[in-house]
Amino acid sequence: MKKEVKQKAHIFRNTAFMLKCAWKSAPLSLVTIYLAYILENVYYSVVIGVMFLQTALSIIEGNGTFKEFAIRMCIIVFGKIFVDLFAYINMYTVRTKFEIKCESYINSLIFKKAQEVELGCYENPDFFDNYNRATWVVEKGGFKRIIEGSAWTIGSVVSIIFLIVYLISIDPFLLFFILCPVVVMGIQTKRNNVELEKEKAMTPFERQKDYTKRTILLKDFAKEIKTTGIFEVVKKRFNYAVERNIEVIKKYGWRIAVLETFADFFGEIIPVCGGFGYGCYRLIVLQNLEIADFSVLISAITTTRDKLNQLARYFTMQQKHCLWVQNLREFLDYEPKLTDSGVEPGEFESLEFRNVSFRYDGNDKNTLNNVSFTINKGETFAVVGHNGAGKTTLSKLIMRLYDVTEGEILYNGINIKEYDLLKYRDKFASVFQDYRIFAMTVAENVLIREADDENIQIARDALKQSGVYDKIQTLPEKENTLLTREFDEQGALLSGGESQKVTIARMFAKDFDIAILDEPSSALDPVAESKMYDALMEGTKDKTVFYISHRLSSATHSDKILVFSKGRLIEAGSHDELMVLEGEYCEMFTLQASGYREEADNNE
Amino acid sequence: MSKASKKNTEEKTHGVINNNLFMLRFVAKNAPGMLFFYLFFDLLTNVPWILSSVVLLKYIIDVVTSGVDYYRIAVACGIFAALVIIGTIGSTVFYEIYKPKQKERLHFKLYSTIYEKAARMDFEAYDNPEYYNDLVLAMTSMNERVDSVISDAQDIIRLLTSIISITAVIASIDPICLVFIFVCVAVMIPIGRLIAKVNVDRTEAMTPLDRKNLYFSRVFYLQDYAKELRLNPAGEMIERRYNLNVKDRLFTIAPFLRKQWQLYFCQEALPMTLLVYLGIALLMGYKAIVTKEISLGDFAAAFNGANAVSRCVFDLTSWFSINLRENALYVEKYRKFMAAKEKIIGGEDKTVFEKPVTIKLENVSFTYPGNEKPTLKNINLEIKPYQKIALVGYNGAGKTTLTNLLLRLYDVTEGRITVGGKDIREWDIPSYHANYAAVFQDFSLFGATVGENVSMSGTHDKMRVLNALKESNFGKELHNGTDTMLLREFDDTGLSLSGGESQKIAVARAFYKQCPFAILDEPSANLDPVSEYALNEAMARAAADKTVIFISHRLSTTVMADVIYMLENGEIVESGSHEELMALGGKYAYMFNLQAEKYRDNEE
Repeated sequence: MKKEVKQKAHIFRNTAFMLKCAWKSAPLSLVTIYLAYILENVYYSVVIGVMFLQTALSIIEGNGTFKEFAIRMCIIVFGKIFVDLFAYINMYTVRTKFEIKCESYINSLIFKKAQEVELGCYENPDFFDNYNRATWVVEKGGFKRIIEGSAWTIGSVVSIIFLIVYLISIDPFLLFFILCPVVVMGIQTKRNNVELEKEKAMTPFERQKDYTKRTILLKDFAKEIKTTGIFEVVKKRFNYAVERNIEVIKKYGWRIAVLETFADFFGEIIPVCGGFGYGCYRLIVLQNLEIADFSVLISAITTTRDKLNQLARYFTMQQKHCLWVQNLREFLDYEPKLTDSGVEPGEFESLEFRNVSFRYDGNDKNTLNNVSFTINKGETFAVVGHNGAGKTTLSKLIMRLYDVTEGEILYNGINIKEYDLLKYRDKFASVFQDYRIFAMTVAENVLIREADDENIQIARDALKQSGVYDKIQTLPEKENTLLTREFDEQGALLSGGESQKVTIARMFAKDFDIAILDEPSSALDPVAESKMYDALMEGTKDKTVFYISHRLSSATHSDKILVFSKGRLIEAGSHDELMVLEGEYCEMFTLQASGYREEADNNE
Repeated sequence: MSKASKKNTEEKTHGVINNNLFMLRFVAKNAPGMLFFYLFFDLLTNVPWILSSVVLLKYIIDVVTSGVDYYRIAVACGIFAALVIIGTIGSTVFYEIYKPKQKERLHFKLYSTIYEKAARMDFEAYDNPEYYNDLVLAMTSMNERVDSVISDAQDIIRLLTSIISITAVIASIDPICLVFIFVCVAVMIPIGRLIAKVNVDRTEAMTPLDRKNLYFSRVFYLQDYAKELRLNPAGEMIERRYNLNVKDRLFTIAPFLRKQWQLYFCQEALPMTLLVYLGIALLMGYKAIVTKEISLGDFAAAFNGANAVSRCVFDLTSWFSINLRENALYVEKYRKFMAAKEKIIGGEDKTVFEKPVTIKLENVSFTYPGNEKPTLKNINLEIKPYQKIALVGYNGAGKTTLTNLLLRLYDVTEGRITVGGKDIREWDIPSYHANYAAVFQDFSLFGATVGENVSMSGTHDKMRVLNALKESNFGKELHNGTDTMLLREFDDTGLSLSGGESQKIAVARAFYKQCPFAILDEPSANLDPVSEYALNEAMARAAADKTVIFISHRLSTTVMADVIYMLENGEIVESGSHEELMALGGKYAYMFNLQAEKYRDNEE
């Protein structure tokens, strides 16, 4: 019982939220939509559905003239034409434009929040799930249905009230038949709850079905699917998910069917058949009912039945869509964990890790353990270590994509949490292996702002530095060529190496204090890698640099090498110091160099 | 753009009805019970309602005005009530239990056809936007589409039955009414055509804008972009573009909306309201009041019947113009997708070699579809049994393409590839693939058990899987042996692996598969130095009894190769053993020295 109350509050509050959004994005349209729905509903169900025939019959029964009949009919029909006109203008022009506006309003809220929240949220399945369903409010048209549904509901309720008043005016006893469906509302809600339970039970299997779909759809999997027998396995999993879904349906189907039958019996059969029967009884046996009134009775009952049925259907749908809105609200209400005190960061002097430990949400082991080091202006640090040693996490902490779990990071001696986040990050330029190209022009992808005549030269220089300028010059619009095919089938597609060079150019186009290079050359061939390495060294001269790589050759010239293993900083020092130490680094370096060394020997 | 769409409509070979029937036949074959119920049992539950306002009303009124016979009315009402009750219970059981199960199975069958086709289709198709879009569309919407084909068929049968039965009743009262109805329909159909055209035009005009819209949402939604947006704050810029796009959408859609409401208004208001509502009402009124030709019951029946028929006709035309057309559009895509001919067709030969044989590429050239320049030019090479071949070269030199040709993911444009003297196009494709173990640069893991992921088939030998994993230095503990699930898609306790560990699973595939040839495309790109070394060692062991074709960027790993082929711009520019190529002092030597340099520097 408590649950039901909560479900209803759900609908009410979420609908209210949606209406607030609608009001803010297009108040006039919202009012128009409501008016149109109420007018349409009342006119069709009350005037056309009931009064039309009644008027006709009562004139004929009362021996009225044909002229009187014709005039009354024309008034009603022309009224309908007027209502139709209003309804169609509303449905096509007003509503569609309103939907676009409202959608953009909600999307803006989502976009703002998506940029505010910390990166960790994207790795948190609960948060991401919420985000996913929040986008359904827009993408699957949840908000449209809610607004439309609420307008429709009010229109229906108003017309049902009219119909009931009409019926009561004929015979108050009819109220009994009309009220039956209301009693059933409780059963309906219960039914809906079981339905929700069923959907919930099916969710994991639906997800599995989606996964198999993705496996087939994405090119990533295609090579394996075409050259091996793995497709059989994919199909088997798909079949498994389907069979499990059927089990769920079997389990819940009967409960839903029984409840549904009850609801139908009280909601439809009793009121409709009962009302009919009672009407016939008065008309034929008691003979105290006019034929015109009898016709009203029949059409009013049928119309009310239709309306109530539709209302119930809307209600179920509304519940589903409100759940999405609930997700949207939770998403928007999320308080980003990365807060700052707005201190303006000064020019870079030093960065210190003091006993820093870090653990990803939901993990039971620390990714970084008690790491301490200091880097000063102008130094070059190389970070090396095995896969999963925590190198990339280190770079994420430096740029405050995450906050440390323990310890602190000090920038110029002050905890980085104090600095204005955006301005702090602006001190860094970074190159990552999992870079992204945006659907913008080449120049905009480099500059990360609108390109104009002034700054385009900066972009060109940066592209030259990263070694992709010549390639860009072969594109139809050169620096102004749109990248990716998202917007345009003619958009330029760059190869992996070229794309990476474009993202590396971002760094050269930026005024930064510290560079973080995380496997920047992973998509390049040896010659390009070597050139890139030189370019990066040239471009970061006099700057402070973190160079993260498992290709040790690139570490040798650094001022200091930090060697990580299993989240711990195990060795630190220059290449020569570490080679003398004969520790982990020395072993790794010797191994990697061995392939080349033999050769070097042979060559001599 | 318009040219392309014209071409599309020309290509379309199936009509609207044909496409809908095609899907219905599919349903009839795979879920005949469900279809039967949908189409015919539904009549039993819905037609009584539609007829009640016409036939039952007339019957009762006639009985009342022409003399009283309670008994017959009671029987009529009783039959009606019984029909309603049986219909209600029957349809509840159907809709809540039988239908969901059948639907789940139907979707399974439908998607199986899509998946199987996708698995068979050319690898190239993933790069062909037109074909790929059809696939995406078929995948993302066919389940909803088949549902709407069924329910539209149901609606049409119901509407047709209603129209015919009501028209028959009206005609029995006054045949002239039929003229009104026919004229009305005759006017509505051409307007319906116009409406459909406007709908199509609108969709076409809006599609590119809507696609942009989705891209903007995706940029904020996807985890890949989340990091990029935090480090390179392009968010504001994207938001600005989004808002511009919203304005663009509002502007573009406006003229279509105006046409739409005008047309809909003309369709409903003029013929239907004036001819059927008003026309029949006045005609019947005249006959009832002035000439007194028809009874009150007849009047009521004809009056309500006219209303009901016009509603049905309106629904029917809009169903034809909107729903069926839309269904047909999607079904057409599905059929096009299913009918597309694969270019890569297998032959009869089912040979799987026990021992390596010679692979020969004779004058092989290859141009990717849509490209102008060939990716491979006139390649000639012979790979002798048990040879270890290394392909090296810059990015885009054609190394991966070469292996794609060898695996027959593409067919050569010119020349031929022979294995053991036979053209590879003579092979049955799965049998041909059985000859190869391949580790791709962009390998993928599947949401399946470890055993399935290593054996890449539905069955596997546990011991061999464990051995293969051991050989590839896979170090993670498997809590459920080879039945341990990978990824969380099907099992919450599924194993999530790091990049390096995933790579080892992929490499284990090559160890597991007993076949004469192995293709290893840059298999150590993701590994740290120690794992890389160990893997190279292991690979050498596993490769002892195989012919190996090996692609790597890091030249230290190519030293062990028997023959190294240096590719540049799609041509082999140098070939020979490492020593030979170093002695040659050409491009390979240059590349190698560049990489070795950094290690050598530190050796002194």
